[in-house]
Amino acid sequence: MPTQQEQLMQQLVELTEAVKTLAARPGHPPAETPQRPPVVVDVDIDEPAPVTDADRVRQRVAFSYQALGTLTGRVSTATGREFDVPVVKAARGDNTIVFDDLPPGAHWVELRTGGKVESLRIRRTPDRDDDGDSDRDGEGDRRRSDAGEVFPKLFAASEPIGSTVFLRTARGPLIAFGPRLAAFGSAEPVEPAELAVT
Amino acid sequence: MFLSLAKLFEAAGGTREQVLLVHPAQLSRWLDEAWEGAALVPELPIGSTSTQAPFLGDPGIIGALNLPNQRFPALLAPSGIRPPEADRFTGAREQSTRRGVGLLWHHLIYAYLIESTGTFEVFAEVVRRLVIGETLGTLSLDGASWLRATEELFFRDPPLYSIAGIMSEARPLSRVTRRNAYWRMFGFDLPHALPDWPSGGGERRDWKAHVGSSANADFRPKWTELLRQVWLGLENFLNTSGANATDPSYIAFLCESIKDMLNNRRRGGLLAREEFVHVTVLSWFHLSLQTDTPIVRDLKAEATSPADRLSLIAQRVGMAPAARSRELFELAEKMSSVLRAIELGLFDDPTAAATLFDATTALGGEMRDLIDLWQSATGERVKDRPIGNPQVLSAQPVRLPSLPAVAEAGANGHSVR
Repeated sequence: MPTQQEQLMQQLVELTEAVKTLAARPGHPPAETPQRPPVVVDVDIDEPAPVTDADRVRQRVAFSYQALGTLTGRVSTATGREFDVPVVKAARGDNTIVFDDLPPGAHWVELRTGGKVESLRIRRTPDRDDDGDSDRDGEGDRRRSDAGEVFPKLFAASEPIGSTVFLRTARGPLIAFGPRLAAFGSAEPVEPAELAVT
Repeated sequence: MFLSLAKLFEAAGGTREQVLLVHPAQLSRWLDEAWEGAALVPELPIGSTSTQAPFLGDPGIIGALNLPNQRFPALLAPSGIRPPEADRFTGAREQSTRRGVGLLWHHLIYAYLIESTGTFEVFAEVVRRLVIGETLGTLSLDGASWLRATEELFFRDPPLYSIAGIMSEARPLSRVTRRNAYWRMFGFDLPHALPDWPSGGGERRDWKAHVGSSANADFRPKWTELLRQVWLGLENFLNTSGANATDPSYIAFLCESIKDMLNNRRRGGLLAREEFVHVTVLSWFHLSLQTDTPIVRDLKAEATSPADRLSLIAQRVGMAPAARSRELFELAEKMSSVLRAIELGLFDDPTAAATLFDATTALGGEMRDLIDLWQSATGERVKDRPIGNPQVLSAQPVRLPSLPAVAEAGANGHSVR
């Protein structure tokens, strides 16, 4: 007689297999366009990739609700991390956006302002050796493996970006979110007192 | 807001209660920074609709009420807060209010539910007794810090030109100002009466009349109906055969109705500042009760839940909190999150609304808790359905306009025959 835990594990394995089978079905659009690398459906036991449009909508809603909890400072339950959605730092360059603190598995970013959306594959910044720059903010070691960048096509440098969301594949699941980004060059200057401290 | 700051302290390796030890001048300045930081809050990735901070009514309200970007020498000093150090002044702004994803305050319902427990009035009496005599004994040094900050921040006029400065000759009583906001947004008044002190003249008596017709009197029936429909969905979530009375379209309709109702009160940024201030006030007292903080220890009210701590503190000053304090404390953050999500339009279409009764998500679990707590706190039987009626009814109740008022009277006032 299998225990409840074994039964649960069995169900999870079956679910994983079912999702893999669906992802491999010939009905799915081939990801062979030159701009996009092949879509890899990366199945996570805790967070299976959505398989239908309705699943995707529901996953976005559930994610947004959790992000809302993170923003309002809610504390997760003792058994979970539901309101500790990873937050990625982002900064804007002339024609690039650079990210820091990318969680593992964050391969894609979705840039959004209202109805305007652009999905981009993140280019992870190669590992760097320690140098003078690495001591900035005292986070030199951490910056090396979790930084990345993208080069937006739809969003000009002069356009603000309302949200940045990080996904495992181009179609989901959503795993982290980032800040609202002002147009390049429009960010407020740092206060003198702040410069003296940071 | 202080719950967000507490989380920042905790994330930086400190403890949540260290927020209560920060100097009130720094906390007061931090509130202005936090207000400005709300402009950083990103849109939520819910689909193609824009969700540009509609919780403010108009995102421009932040800049409209904010001090312009300061150049050196600054008119007002920054908060200088750097978690987790409670006793340090860095000379710079607290970082989360300047960069990153910003901070978002709870929905006004959070303030209403926490205040409904009686927390504010109990602590008002505690502060009064502590500053005028020794009936509550002496405080530890940390307790004295709490008392100083509490009195300075919430029981005197706020500093000039502070975002928290919503007391004036036009609205002299903070208690009445809060009731006014609750009444307008939800059509709810607090379950306890206004205390006799401080005096407030006409404002004390007539505040409901001054609101006029701009109160959302229909909020409660719609909210209860939404909970009832979500409960139907949760009950039938695992159904694979047989009747399923769940109606996601009707749930989406109810969510949209509530959204429109609440957003109506926020047009042009109305109530944004008031909500910020009221939530801030109540979050301070909520935070004071979340753990065995210095003031809780000094008042010998150590316990395992905020409701129990409040009850013990109330006993020390001869008062009694609301009978359902535990439920109200538990409800506050959950209901705040759900109403924020509704106002952001998260559940405006049936597919998205189905997430509310998806028992496998955190949201579905919260809705289940919320229904339990609401039923227990208010006595409204959300889960009950008529018994002895085997006929499966539509989830959507039918309410047609009734005719008698038209049929009974003619143009001259006599009955029509």
